[in-house]
Amino acid sequence: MNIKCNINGKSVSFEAEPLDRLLDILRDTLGLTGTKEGCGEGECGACTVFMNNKLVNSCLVPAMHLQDADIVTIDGLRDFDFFTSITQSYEENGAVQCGFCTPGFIMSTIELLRKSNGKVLTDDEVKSVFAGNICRCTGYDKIIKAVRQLLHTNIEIPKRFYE
Amino acid sequence: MNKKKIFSPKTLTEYHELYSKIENSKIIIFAGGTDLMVGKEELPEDAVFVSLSELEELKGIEKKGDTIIIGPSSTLNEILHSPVIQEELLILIQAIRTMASEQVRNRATIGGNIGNASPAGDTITPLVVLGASLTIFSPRTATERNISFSEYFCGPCANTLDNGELITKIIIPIPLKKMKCYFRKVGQRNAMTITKASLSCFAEIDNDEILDIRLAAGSVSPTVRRLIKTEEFLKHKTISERTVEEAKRILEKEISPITDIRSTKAFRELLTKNLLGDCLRSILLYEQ
Ligand SMILES: Cc1cc2nc3c(=O)[nH]c(=O)nc-3n(C[C@H](O)[C@H](O)[C@H](O)COP(=O)(O)OP(=O)(O)OC[C@H]3O[C@@H](n4cnc5c(N)ncnc54)[C@H](O)[C@@H]3O)c2cc1C
Ligand code: FES
Ligand code: FES
Repeated sequence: MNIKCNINGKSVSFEAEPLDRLLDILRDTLGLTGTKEGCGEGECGACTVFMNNKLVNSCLVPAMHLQDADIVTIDGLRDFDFFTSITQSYEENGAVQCGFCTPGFIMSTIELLRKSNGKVLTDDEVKSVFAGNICRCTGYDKIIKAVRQLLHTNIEIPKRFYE
Repeated sequence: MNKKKIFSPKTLTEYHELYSKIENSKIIIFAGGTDLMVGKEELPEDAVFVSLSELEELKGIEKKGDTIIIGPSSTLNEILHSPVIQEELLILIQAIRTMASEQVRNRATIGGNIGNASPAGDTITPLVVLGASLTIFSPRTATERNISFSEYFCGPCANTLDNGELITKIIIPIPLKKMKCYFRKVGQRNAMTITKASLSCFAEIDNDEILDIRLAAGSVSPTVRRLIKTEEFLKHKTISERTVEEAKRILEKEISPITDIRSTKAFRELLTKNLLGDCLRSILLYEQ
């Protein structure tokens, strides 16, 4: 089937089988390799992207649901100031070790920042959004520290993530 | 390989018209796909998929008289954030909070959780104690019928729906405000866990006396159903350590857990009994 959708602000069209995974379309068809595959079963969160402004596992999204969808992946964030703030905070707090989980954690961090909308979230609230992301290296503490630091600075997440 | 046939009907009438073309194939209903995508390699090669994504009739949550009607295509997060559900069906909120992750809850639907008919499905025990029923659409005749959960289940991960039949509504009587509710599940870790055992309960208590009680346990029987004998025993009792211990003994005979990779039979029995103890003590002790 032919699919037209918007990926990282650009409209794209491609051929896919209905059950092809968004994850493979991103990586193999479109060459957007920032999004990683860990488990392929919705457990690890390495493949997390935004779809129609909602956090989803791209390994569980079939091509047939992509018609007219709006997708934002880690590769689409490079030019945004808030992305630099997030990566800096991750670096300063040692929240990246092997880095495999990082793209997924950053997508969930964006969700947290827009949820908090200026309010400081409790550790439980932070953990509940990170429940879908697994990190084998850092033990989470450093990631949570990085997010805490971000929650105390006023970071503007662009409108297109809200609407 | 993987040349799948997909249909996305926009209305139930359209589905009915389409049905004669596909009735001889194995039909797989596709909602959020979080269960189906994980097992997609095992799906029959020649299956026909009916995607629900454009079927607006299956979406939405509304209050109608003294019931709440949930469209099966509502995602778990839509239910979690629905003001109507937060106001009237606390037990469903408690259950959904323990399910999967933000990412999965944005895609997974309640219809898919019921459709999967797993004894570990976490929306199912709350729906059973809430006395919910299902409306089923038969695409052959274009008619709808209502069934209870006891008519719906017929074995572990098996339901009584005919090929291509759809759940179109989940109908939930609004519980009385004075009913106290309890949901707890135990798994490997707190978040993102498949249930080893869970317990849902509604009870009406007056001066320490249990006037009415409804119980259902997850993951400890081939299908989820009410624990009628335990309920009967507890009705009109006041809760003491002795009643709790006696109730646990009755419960033990009423469930039939299995040993699998997640847990042993004996451990599941113990867990469920402890959940019952926790439930009885907490609905008495804490005002909700
Ligand atoms: C990482 C992960 C964690 C999970 N955690 C939990 C958890 O904690 N608790 C839990 O209970 N589940 C959990 N699940 C399982 C799954 O997410 C849920 O069962 C979910 O509700 C399925 O919904 P869906 O729309 O994605 O279903 P789908 O995959 O689209 O469908 C599931 C089944 O239901 C049928 N179906 C769907 N809609 C209908 C309908 N309207 N009428 C008839 N049949 C229908 C389908 O044909 C299929 O057989 C988890 C899954 C993953 C991947
Ligand atoms: S690869 Fe998608 S969640 Fe692990
Ligand atoms: S940094 Fe290695 S998995 Fe998280």
